[in-house]
Amino acid sequence: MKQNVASAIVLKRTNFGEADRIIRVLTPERGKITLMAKGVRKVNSKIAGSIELFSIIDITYLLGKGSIERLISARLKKHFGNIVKDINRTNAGYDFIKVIDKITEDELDNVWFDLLAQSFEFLNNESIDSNIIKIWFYLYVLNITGHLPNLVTDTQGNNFTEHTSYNFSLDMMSFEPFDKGEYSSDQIKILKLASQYGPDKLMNIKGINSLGETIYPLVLKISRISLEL
Amino acid sequence: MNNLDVDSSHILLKSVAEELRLPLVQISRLSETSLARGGRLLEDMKLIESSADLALQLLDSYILGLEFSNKQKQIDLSPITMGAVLNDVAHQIHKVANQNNCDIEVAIKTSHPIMGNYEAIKLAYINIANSLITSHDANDSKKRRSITFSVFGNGPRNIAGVYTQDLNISRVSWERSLAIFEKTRQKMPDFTSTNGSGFYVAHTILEAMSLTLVPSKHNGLKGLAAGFPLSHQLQLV
Amino acid sequence: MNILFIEPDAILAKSFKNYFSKDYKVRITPSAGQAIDLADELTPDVIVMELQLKHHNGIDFLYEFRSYIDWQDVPIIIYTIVPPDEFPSDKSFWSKLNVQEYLYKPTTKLSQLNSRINDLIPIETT
Repeated sequence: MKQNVASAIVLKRTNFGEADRIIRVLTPERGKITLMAKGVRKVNSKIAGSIELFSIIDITYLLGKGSIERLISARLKKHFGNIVKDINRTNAGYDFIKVIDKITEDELDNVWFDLLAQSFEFLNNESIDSNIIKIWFYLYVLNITGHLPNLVTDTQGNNFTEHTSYNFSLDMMSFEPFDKGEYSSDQIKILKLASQYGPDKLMNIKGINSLGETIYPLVLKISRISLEL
Repeated sequence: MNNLDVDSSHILLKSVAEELRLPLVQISRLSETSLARGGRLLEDMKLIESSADLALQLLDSYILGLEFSNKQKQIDLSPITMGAVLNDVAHQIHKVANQNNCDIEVAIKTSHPIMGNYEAIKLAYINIANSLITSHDANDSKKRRSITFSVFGNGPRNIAGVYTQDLNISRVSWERSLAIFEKTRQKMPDFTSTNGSGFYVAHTILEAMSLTLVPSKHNGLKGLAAGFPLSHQLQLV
Repeated sequence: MNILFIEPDAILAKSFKNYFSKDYKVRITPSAGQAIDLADELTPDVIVMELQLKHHNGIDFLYEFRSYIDWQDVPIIIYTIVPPDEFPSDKSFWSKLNVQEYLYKPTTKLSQLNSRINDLIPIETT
């Protein structure tokens, strides 16, 4: 029987019976696959420690008869251990997994594997604020799926100006000038930068932490609506 | 206009709120338990007293840390011995230690005087000791821990530290914890379930006196310590 | 009824034991890992847990715990020092993890916690 090998990121684990686990993983080539890991909950299982969440693993598996493949071996390639040390990062990590799990129902593209791996890399880096990582992640997903809001001009087609405040129009997916609006041009600028640069670069911006706190709720709202989360 | 910089005053203030929550919750729940058990059980009252004392000590140290970091307070220095300081700290912290199944030991090897601010240094070490004590896992009653206050000579300095059996923190991890302080809720999650803010406050107070708190090993124990330069003039007196 | 508390603070753990052990069988552990082991020995009727733990935090525990099919319906009450506004405000976030209640320690007395635990006891019918 032909053995297949792949890099994989664990999306979900469900404990099955006395000693088994069903694992759903994301791979660059085949997208999502479901694997049966037999006996992994036994103390002497060789692959037990490898199939952790927030890890990249190398797997070897056999094609199963139905939709579940059989996991033969798993080797931990990289474990992002800092993620579970912080509640906010753990939460963000699980959220990212949920989002990508949902999106990859219909899409088969190695961009999702790369995005998830990169997101874990950023979350694992404690010097990067987790809000900034979340903003970057959701804008990235919105961009790839064609749902990125207009961050270049306002609803009237004008450039954003320093002393104007704005509200966000969900209908137009754009910012409109508004007296005593919720958002400043600085905040919109950060959003634009976050759609272009990674969170590691964004951390160089002065005051980014407090800006991030104020704009993350908007990014999350847009994502929930556009991506039907 | 919003101040977009997260300066050290803001961080300290947030640390105050975070760190004080726990002792105040302890006081409130202990009082409730005591009342539910029909009155004033001595054991409960002792726990409440020590939690309240700790909260008050923490408050004082945070205010001091804030004043130092804002340069609102001048640091007056006078000749002190670290042995006296740490004996005082041990005395203040022993009730909290006892409630947390923790023994205190004091090992003072030198009494060379140094120039320092007694109250500020005492508060810094109360914070370090308290943070080490409360990192002890609950319910581990079979395993009684201890913390050791040590002062010993090391060339031109006296080293004063608080040590324990299992503070396994490298210099790299320590510096990383200080660097990520305002970015994450739990600063040292491998070591403690608390926020770890007490270590940061101690670091801030000592830093204001140009002292550096670092991981240290001594007599098989690990802990945090600072080096206090010896004053040659004092030694001649 | 047996309650499993996940509580890292020694003084609060003592308080919970004193308060609840007259009416319930109480087990207390400071760590998420030990909680899984204790649940394996005897499935709790209710779990009351702190989110801010050593090594693995409460969120990680929740996802791990719920990955066991047998434990998906065990009621969980979060009783934590982490302010609720650090999480999304809509209840669907917690209901997806089948968390019955989020109680903030500074503002929730043990009597209130006890009330919520009582609400989760299944009514026995004769």
